[in-house]
Amino acid sequence: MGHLAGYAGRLGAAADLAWRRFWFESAPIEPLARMRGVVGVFSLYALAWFSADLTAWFGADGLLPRDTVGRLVTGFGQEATYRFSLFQASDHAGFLWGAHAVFASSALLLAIGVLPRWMALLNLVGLLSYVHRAPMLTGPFECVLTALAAYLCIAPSGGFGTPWRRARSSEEPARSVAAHIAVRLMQVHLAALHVMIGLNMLGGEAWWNGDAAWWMAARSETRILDVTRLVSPDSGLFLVNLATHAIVAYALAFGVLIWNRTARPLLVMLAIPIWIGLALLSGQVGYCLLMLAANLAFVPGPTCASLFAIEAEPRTR
Amino acid sequence: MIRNEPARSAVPPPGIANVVSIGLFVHLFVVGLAVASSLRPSPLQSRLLSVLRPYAQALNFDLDFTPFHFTHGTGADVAHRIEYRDAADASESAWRVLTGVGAGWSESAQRLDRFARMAATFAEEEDDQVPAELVRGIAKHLARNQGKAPIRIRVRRHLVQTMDAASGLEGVARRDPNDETYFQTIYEANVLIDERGGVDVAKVTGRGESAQPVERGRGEP
Repeated sequence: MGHLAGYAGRLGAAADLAWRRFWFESAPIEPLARMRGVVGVFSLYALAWFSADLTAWFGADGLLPRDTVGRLVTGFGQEATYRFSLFQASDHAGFLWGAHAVFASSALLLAIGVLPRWMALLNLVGLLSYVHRAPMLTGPFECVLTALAAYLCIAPSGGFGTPWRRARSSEEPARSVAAHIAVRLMQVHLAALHVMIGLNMLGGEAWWNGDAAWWMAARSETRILDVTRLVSPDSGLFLVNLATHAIVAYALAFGVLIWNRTARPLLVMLAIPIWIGLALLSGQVGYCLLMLAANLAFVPGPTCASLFAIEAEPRTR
Repeated sequence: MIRNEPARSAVPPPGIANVVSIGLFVHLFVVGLAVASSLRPSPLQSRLLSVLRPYAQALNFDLDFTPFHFTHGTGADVAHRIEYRDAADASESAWRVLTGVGAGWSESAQRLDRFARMAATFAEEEDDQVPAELVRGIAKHLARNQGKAPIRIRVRRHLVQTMDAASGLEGVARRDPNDETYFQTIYEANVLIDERGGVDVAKVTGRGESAQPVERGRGEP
């Protein structure tokens, strides 16, 4: 019994130490500043597409009137909902365009680093307003983007030019525990998403029998690159199988191996062909490119080269 | 412009670190739960999620069947579209497709795809209330913006070609992926808009047959 209690005490102490080392380290703010740029640019991308059909969806004569959405999200009054959107206030075109302009401006200012904390908050309110006004229109892109935008609100992410300035100067970096926590939250969230993507893929037969890449490539409406004509009856099947299995293996490996310093650069580099390939096959450009850009949360220093230097760091201390 | 002044931020004192740790733990529990129950939640996961929903849903951490996995190789994973016709002409050429802005990979087109897929999913589950609700909005939108009211609206699914058909395997003729035989109608309804703007939707249950009109949504004339 004494051995068990001793082990439990040591386990608790080790977990406590590991937890504090993982979360409460004072670190440079450059990684968060880089993610601020990513969130700002992709928020602009999302809002730009809403510019094309804002009133067609949310207007008084839109495809999804407010009362229709209200009935749908509550299961026709059966369930409670906790979706709050500024666009629920009015469906007048002037109001919609005014709010849209404010949110688009906040995304732009966030991307370039003007009043970053305020713009991060305004950008989150904006993104959630679009998502909650019509949740049935949203997909994985919006889920990832709103999560990253939320984490950006909890810490200072540096002003204009922060990701690049220190790379060209010798000044001491600005450091922040809160910025470190925000980046850690992004990393954990992304790792969890990768594991979930891999496991969800394995919930469908197409990812087991190797056909999933074909199911994406054969959707003529959405694909960007038509590779179906390149697939010959003999070798094509194996290529499709190989692509399918590689995607699943990558998603599952990422969630686990990204925490290994040696494997991390490899996984980040592999993200480039995997996510660009998925974007070309599936046509889900926003989602795939955001997942690719989100890998920047795993680059610790001011430059991308710091990703590869990470292994040498402890030895030089 | 904000200045990037060098500054060293101290590690927080234990008291603050403990409070932050509790917050982090609760948040990560919510995220982990949402992620773990995104596809087929157990009753326990569903119950826990419903308790934590005010937080998870408000910040959009509630993943709720979001297809992060791209495809499962089922009928629900193919492209969906909404088609309408505003004339009595029943030929296929009379149908027009409701399209978004930009190519099929644009966010605009993908939102329309999700919209149509939602109608198809509920129609397949024999729940006609949701498709009727969506069709009502489509009819009003088309009537106001195109000046001509649609008389029939349908949701169609564009089936995916097999690899053999696409590649023209020996003995199998190469086929056009947009051939009419690759389209499947999931839901179809007659639409009647009265002079006050009220919309009646009657599901077409068979060849030219109509079901009873679905009750109008609350708050409508």
